[in-house]
Amino acid sequence: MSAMRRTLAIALAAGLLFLGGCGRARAHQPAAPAAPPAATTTATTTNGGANAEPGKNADDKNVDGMLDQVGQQLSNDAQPAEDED
Amino acid sequence: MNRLARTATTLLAALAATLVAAAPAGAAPSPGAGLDAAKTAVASRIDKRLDALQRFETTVDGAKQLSSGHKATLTKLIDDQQAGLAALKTKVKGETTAAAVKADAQSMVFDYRVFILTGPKVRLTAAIDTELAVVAKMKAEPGADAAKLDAIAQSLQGKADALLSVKPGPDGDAIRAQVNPVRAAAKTAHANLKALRKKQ
Repeated sequence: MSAMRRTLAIALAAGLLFLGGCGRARAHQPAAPAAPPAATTTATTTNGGANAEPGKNADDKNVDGMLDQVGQQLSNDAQPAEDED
Repeated sequence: MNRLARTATTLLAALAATLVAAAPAGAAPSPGAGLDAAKTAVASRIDKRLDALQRFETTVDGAKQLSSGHKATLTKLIDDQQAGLAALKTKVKGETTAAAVKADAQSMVFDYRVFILTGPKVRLTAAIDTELAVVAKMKAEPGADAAKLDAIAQSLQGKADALLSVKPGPDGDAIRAQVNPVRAAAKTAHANLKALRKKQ
């Protein structure tokens, strides 16, 4: 009788844990699609902010970025080849 | 007793026959084992080149400053080499002599020169076209040192086209001798542009 009670208690506890897990998984699912609009809002704020200087700053970044790209290409080119032929 | 011995012998013979039949084909030493190993080695080296070409394709796609002409030339070169090496790999699989596999291995190197020529063609052409775009942008900025920027552009003039015209072949040193001056010009231009950028 006592063994049967223990088995029932364990089964009940396992069932509760399982149901709890399912509930948590369902609760987490809708969170993912909500993220992109937040990123869009941030980008809009940055681009339209009072301190934005679309002219010179953008060009400066562009030239520096292009020089970095060249540096990366030259660095890749300096790596030893997989086969020396 | 006699029947017992006969039964035991029959069972042993059946077991031996089963073991021989179940043995994998590769386990038995055969005259073609060396040939198979050579074919596998060459196929693996072809795969390395195909992987590299895949990376070069990504580089070309990502190089925003590549001129349209250079981009078209590099894309065609990569496509042709991918097709040629894939066909060569199929050919290697069907070879039946060591001499044929050796000829295929030579073709894999001499006819393509993926590592010492195609790779530099992609990277250095992208670098040079980007440097020329930087020169144009810097010249448009107020206070630009136009004379120095013109000199940098002049040092790069025709270098990418010269590199793209180099053909693969058996003489690796001759290929390196044609690639190295272009590499040096791209490096020098990069250093000079960075120095000018600090002043500007």
